[in-house]
Amino acid sequence: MIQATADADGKVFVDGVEVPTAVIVSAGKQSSEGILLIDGELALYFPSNATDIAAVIDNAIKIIDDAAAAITKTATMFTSVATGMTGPTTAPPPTIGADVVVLNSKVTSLNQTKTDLTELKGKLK
Amino acid sequence: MKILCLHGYFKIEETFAGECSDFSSLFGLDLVRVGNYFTFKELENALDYSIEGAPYLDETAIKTFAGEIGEVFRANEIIFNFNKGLVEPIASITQKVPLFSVGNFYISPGLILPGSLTDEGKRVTDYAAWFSQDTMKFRYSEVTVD
Repeated sequence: MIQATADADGKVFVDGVEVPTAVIVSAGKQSSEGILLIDGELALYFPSNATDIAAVIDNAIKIIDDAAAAITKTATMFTSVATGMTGPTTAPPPTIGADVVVLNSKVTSLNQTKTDLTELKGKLK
Repeated sequence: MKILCLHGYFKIEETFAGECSDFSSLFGLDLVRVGNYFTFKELENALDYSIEGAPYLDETAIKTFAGEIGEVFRANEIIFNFNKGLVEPIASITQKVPLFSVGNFYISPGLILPGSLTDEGKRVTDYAAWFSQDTMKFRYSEVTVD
């Protein structure tokens, strides 16, 4: 079992040397890193999906960060607006305090998901 | 002391302690331990796989192959020439080796260079040799030609 790479033309390389008899075991042809299994004259290349999955996880974490920041900003905005509604004819909606709590709890859930994804990424091999 | 030649790769086993050291002193050939056997120092880093076109010891592999090291040697048609301390193509060996059948074994002067040609024009590829320091002779219990 040897570390290997493949290019978009379906060629497999070990330490920069092409392995002409290698058979790529995957659905398509893209540049990839993976492992080459050789048994006798049979050489099979298995691409690793770990780098693709890591990239997807990174994007998901970024989206979560953006969503959590937006929700936090919204909750803060509502709190500020409610604080300013002190006139004789205005009053904040009675549910606004509870609504802000709900928003903040969603941020907490998102941050936990982000933590879980970060841990998953760390376990990729 | 038992010396196995496996398609040009060597595995050496001691019958008594110190035989490898004595063998090295007698013939000027360094032996190293690899796992549970000894081999020539130049073969210490031989891999159990080869990649066509990539360096394999002193040669360039002609086959992508994985298996026992002796099988890798056979696939790549190479042998270890202990006279030169080099791995060479088996086809480059031109010397002849006399083999004399004596009852249940063969005798031949010295350690047979793998790839050597018999009187019938066949190449010696494998053998099991027994070296006696007392007699300084090699006995061959098995010899494979190809």
